[in-house]
Amino acid sequence: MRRSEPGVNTGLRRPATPTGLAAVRVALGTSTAGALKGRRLLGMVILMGLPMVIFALRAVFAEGGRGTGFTSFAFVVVHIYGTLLLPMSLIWMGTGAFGDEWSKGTAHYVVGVPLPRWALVVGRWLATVRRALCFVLPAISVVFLLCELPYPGGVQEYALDLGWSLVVISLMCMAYSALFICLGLLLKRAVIMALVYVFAVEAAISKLPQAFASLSMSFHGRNLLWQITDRNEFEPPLIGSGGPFDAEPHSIGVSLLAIVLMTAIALLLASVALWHKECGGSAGGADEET
Amino acid sequence: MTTAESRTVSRPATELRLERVTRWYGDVIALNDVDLCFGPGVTGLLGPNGAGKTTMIRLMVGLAKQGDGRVLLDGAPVRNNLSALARIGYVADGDGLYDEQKAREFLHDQARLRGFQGDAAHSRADVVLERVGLSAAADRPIGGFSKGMRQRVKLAQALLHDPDVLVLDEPLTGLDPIMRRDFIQVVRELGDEGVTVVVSSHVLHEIEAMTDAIVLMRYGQVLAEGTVTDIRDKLDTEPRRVALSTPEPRTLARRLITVDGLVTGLSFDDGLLTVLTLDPEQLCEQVQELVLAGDISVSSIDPLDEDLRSVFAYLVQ
Repeated sequence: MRRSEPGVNTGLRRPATPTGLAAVRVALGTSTAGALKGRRLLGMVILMGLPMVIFALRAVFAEGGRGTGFTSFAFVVVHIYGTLLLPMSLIWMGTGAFGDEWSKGTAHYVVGVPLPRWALVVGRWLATVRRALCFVLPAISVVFLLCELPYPGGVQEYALDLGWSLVVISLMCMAYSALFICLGLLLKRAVIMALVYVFAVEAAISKLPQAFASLSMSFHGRNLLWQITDRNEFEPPLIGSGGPFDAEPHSIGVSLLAIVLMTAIALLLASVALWHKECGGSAGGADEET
Repeated sequence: MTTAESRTVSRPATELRLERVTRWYGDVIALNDVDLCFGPGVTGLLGPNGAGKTTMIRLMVGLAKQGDGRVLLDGAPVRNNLSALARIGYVADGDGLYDEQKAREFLHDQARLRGFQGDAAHSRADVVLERVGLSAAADRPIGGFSKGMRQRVKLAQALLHDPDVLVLDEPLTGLDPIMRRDFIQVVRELGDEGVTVVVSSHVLHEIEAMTDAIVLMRYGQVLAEGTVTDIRDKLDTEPRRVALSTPEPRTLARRLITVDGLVTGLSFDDGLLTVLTLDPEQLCEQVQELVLAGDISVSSIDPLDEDLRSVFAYLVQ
């Protein structure tokens, strides 16, 4: 260790701390460490790649008629990625975006810096979304090709639908990320609660009539896709079936607003949680308190 | 009262104040009505494990919130106050670091979070790496570092933004003797530069090597604050030990116990007489008189209880 030299410390002009979007950019740019690397990333790669493997095998061994390819693709987008794999993989990424900082004892490197809490939350959220999209969008595109390449003209015919699917999946990715980051900051057993949420709300309730299914993001994602593309393969269940819970389908605006609102509320709650979060003391065995 | 005196101050004096701070964890009181003020220079925070040092430090750096009272940096609250956080450097007691990152990457990220941009962040990271002696290992992952190197990385990130207040929680843990010496030297230099440095430890000689301004804690309360000598002087109800080297210890003892109330205890050890007294100054005067009168020979008078260890022992008993 060297002795200090003149100017090493005393001559330094301390820079102004970043605020606003500059703070978000800094938080985003420094979010590469910790939770967004390592085993969680590997888990995401495996989850996102699984359908590609399955459909590659299917393309080799299975047969189907015209239109079968897009039906399969819609099924994968709605039921596999939108309802299951995307939220499942984002559970690990989202809850760990801040949660790991506490469990690994690095929280003070994040909350001890002079950046607004909301900027930290938004920065980590964007980092999580960016990372997830790097895997999910190519994975869905590859699955699309695997579904449509066996059928001449299929790729061109459904290319626009692929585009809309990627847009909607991106929106859902943003919403799920915000939700799980929020849960990671609010709850001590966030992963378990997030799994319960995915299976109860996104996998089960989203299949119920619209009045109930509106509580889930996967329903709104699916409704958006259906409304935008007008493809029956995306149509949510039990709409227009004449049952007791039948209602007019939500418009594009309503579903879009629902997803944006859920995202905004989750980010707001996460910012408030981070504002109150502590790096706990040693007394009483309390390692962290909210 | 400011516990550390201002030394060679090369920056505006910074005052970190705790006003009647109390903090509970459930039913356990971690800090109880603590009133303290830290000024430029090094102040040692001393106390046994569980004394409340770490809790107090986390309040001081804004990582925890107090139940009652206020924690103020130059009059402004610390917690969730960005301008206050920008002036504080903190070395935590835990071992938490981003193991997968290289030291340079970590410090670069931390520099950016502190407001340095582009090349300034890189050069600042390089400067602190050089200062803590980690330049050669800067491009190795932190996960492969020894405990001492990890401590240096933590110190480097605390120095990145040239803090006005530097808070070090058990910083010497795991350092080898040479590193320990260098670390102590850096801390003392920072204190001399006018940085308000607060160092916690439960190891007495570590604190003694860094400063004589101390705060003694136990059970979440401040037992005493000031210099070791000041605190010792306040303990006038406790007898102090004075060692007298003399060829005739028993003769000297006989003469001293004739003085009313001067001696409260005696022990002999091969040419050394150790006297317990409530008034060391009067004892010295008496010994001087005896020596000047030619009655007895005394080669040295050594107060034994002026060091931190004895003060601490008195206070925590």
